[in-house]
Amino acid sequence: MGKKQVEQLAKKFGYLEYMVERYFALFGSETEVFLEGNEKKLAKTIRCNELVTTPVELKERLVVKGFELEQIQGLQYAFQVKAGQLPLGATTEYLLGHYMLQSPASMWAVETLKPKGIDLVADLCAAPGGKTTLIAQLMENQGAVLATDISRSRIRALRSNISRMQVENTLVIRMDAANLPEMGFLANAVLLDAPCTGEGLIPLDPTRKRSRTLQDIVTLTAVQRKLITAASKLLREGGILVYSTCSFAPEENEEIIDYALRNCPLKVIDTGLSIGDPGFSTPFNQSLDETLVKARRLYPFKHHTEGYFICKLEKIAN
Amino acid sequence: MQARKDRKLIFEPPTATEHTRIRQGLSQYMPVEDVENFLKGKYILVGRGRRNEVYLLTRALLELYQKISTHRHPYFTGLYLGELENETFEPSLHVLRMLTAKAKEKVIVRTTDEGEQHFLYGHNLSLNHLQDPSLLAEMESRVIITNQRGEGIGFCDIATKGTQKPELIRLKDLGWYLRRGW
Repeated sequence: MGKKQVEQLAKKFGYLEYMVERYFALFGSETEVFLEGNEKKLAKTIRCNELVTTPVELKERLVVKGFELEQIQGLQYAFQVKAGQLPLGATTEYLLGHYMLQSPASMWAVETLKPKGIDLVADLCAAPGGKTTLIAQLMENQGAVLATDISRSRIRALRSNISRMQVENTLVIRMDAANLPEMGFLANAVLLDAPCTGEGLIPLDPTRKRSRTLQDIVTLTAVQRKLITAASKLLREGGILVYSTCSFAPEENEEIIDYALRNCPLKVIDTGLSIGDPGFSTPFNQSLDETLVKARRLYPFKHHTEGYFICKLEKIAN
Repeated sequence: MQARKDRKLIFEPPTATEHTRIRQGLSQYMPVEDVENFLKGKYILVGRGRRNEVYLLTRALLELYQKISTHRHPYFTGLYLGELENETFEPSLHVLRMLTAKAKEKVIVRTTDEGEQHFLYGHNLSLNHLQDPSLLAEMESRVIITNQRGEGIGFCDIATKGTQKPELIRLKDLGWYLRRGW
């Protein structure tokens, strides 16, 4: 793709040019389809809280209120909301904790972790709690979840959602998760949904087409490296780490995993997901760890969800 | 605008008096034996800060708390039972569902659909918001408000009890999750 074509596409879809250049390097001839995919509105999706109700009962109640729901394939508790007049965040069922507004991508990240039956799960960067409350749901409110977040305002939302969703097995701490290993305990599973540039959220927030710079990626990768190192230290041998972001940038995804594989006792394992494209092992002509193809990438234009990256790792002997 | 200060809680087991107040507070709504069954095998901690917040922990959570508490006090943990205020214990919205399921008959006031919406917007209730206002005379002064399906949606005090036009003064309602939850 020539400079002129990059300029044209950037202008047509309203992106900064450097972003389109990068997308072309990643997606080649599919770039325009990728950009068109980001223009389409994503369907609203909800997750039934099985701690409180059943998907069947929830569907019945919301249908009576005029909503049209369709179950999301592979997620027995999740629905796409195809129609409805009321705001989804203001129904009595919402207030009673019967459901959470949540994207399937973030549900897939928790599904990858498979927290059922695990004694202790750590959820780093947990606010506002969509994934934390799903972890608790899959654990059937048993065991313990340690949820941390650094943001004062977001942690209030986490608390509110835990309470509304009738979650009873979490301990929430407001702190930088990078300091968690100092506490001297080990978890059986860790979910690290790392802070990122959020390029994958462009279909929901088009301002991100122009609000992120290359420097933002550089700044965030330093944080992501620190967090994945901490996550590895928190894990018992044989424990599972799921790393996820809502970014398309390989620097925030495959390169972070590659860094972790070189610096921490971790190996990439299959996500077990039937959805998603393989991770990149040679993005931007770099040669990264070949096992990165086991990671999963979700795209709005292919998977009809926000852009997401999910990688599952296992802690191995030092 | 002044930034909200961080909430710093110091967690401790409750005193014997606080234990009694918590049990009394819960038994306003549910039979004493159900209170004991509910608390059995669990652990109570009081987070002391600007308020005294009461939390109920399972064994697994208590063990986690013990591991981390030498470094940090939690922000929130387990089931938030409620708050110790002066001489009393006020249950939280987090425990409302359980309380409603176990509640004594004389503490349940059912609203009409219109009453439910009115209440969830943070308003007090009057007789025309209730499914059967005649039952109010038999009710205790502190009640759980439910919708037509019998699901707990908040707590009220029956004010001016015994008079011609009693009113239910809203203490807490689930609409808080929208108004203040974030």
